[in-house]
Amino acid sequence: MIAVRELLLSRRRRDRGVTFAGPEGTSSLSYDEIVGRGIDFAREIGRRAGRDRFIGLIWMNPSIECLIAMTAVVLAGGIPVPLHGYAAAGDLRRTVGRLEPDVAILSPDKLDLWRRLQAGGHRLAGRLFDGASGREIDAGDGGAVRERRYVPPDETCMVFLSSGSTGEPKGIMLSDRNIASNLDAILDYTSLSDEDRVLITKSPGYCSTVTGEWLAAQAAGADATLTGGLVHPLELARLVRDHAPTFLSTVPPILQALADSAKWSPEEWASLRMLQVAGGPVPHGTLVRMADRLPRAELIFGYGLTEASPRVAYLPYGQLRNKPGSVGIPLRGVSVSIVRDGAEAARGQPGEVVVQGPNVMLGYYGDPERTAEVLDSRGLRTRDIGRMDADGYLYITGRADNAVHVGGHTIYPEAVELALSECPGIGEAAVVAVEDDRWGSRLVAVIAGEGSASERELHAWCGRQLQPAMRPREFRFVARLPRTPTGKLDRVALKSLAKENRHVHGR
Amino acid sequence: MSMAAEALTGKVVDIIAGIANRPAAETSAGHSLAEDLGIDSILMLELLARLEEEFGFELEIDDLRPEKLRSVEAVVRFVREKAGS
Repeated sequence: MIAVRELLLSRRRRDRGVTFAGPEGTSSLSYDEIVGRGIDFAREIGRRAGRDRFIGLIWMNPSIECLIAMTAVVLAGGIPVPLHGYAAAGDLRRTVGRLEPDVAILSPDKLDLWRRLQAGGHRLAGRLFDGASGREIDAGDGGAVRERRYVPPDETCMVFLSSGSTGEPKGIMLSDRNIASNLDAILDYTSLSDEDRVLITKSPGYCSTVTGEWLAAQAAGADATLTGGLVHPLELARLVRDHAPTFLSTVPPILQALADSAKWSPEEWASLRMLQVAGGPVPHGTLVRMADRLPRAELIFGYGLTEASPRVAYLPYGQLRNKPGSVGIPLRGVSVSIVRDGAEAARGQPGEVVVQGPNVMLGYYGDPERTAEVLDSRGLRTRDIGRMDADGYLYITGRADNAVHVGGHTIYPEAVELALSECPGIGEAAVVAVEDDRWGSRLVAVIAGEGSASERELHAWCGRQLQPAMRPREFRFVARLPRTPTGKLDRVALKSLAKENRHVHGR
Repeated sequence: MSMAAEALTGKVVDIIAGIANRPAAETSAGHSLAEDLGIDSILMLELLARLEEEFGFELEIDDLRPEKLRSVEAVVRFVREKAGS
């Protein structure tokens, strides 16, 4: 197993590299050039970071420069924390407050918002760099080395952010071994090679993009094409036609839209040999429909979570039709058990999905309590409910908590409720997911009590505070929230309320 | 601008404003859909479906380019082309 740092330096195929396909045309850099620029940038950052194992927040749009920034932070000995380019101000403020970055690397268009937050009295980061030019910007908070409230374990390689149930972002700390082992296992079942061309359309802020796409391509010596993100699911059809990738990973809502659309022709996808989909449930019929339209490609459905670096299981293509509803078998080196009432459940019986293996995270950044809740002697508690069939195939059937899937994201209604509760002029707020054909689930917020905030104001507030997948799509106004006899929010009643009041608008 | 063109512009702006949940009067041609109006990919899907319905055209995959849909005026131009063709 090769370490991430060595992998980045190894440049297995110096002639291969990354192409950025943007609206103004394409630009390419070889892995050799990316690493070269990463080394130069690392020297700059390393000189100014103030400590050896510094935290480097990277808030950039998808771009080759973003990959260079991540490379540079690793090579300089720091810990990169990629944030999605589309993160909202509220996300950024909470993330910075928790992680205390020593260094921040920004796309130039993020500077305005950064300065506004700074003017609002938020301490953001010691040193600020322009990710496009690799130069320091004279707008950091002075760069004074300060005491951290929390020092991540020495073996931490990267930190990925994920929303939690408390509204505070969870910083998922992954070690070198976590990432490298998962990368190895992914290369094993995908057989990615230097003959492949990987199309990357997801944000580099996701662990699955970093481990399963970018690092996988670089380790295999495959060419990669990076795009600035999708404005519409069907845009992917055009990107595949134009860039002729052999390998593509996507999320359930995009697959759903493609499977249902007659606007693209499978002949235009003839280059594709493997299509991976992970990030939430997909109806079996959709997988089969898509597989039927792409007879030359292997459609691989998978299961994972960032806490597992991220991939846990994959459904081998040959079993796609034989195992309807299954997310497949564990990756090489990973094992999965089903735990019920503190003991391993009998085969076929439902229980919590628990993961063991070298890919299980170190813990949550600065949060030993929540770490202890999910990491125990049995392994990583996923909070997913599932069962295992007699052949060892895993099925995910539900959640042990309130989390829902929206557009490939795991969203906690509690976190959205918290953000809403901070909105001026609001009474009580509860958030529930209702089924949605396109996105799996759609969030509906139910607002109760004597608030004055209008629906418009609520939408605007959420737009500033929450990343897109977390924003309620509709608001309902009621006199009071449904509660159980013990006073807890009745989420089942809430759901029917959200569905019933569909067309009633209060304000 | 002809009356028909003006009517089309007004209708597109109304639809965009509706999707973005803000008054049409506060929505101007130069506004960026994503940055100024908070239209994310989920709302974009709804916007395009509404425009197809309202103006009776069908989107093709070559229409789905971010630069064609970046600002209010870009969307107006886009709809004019699609609805006119």
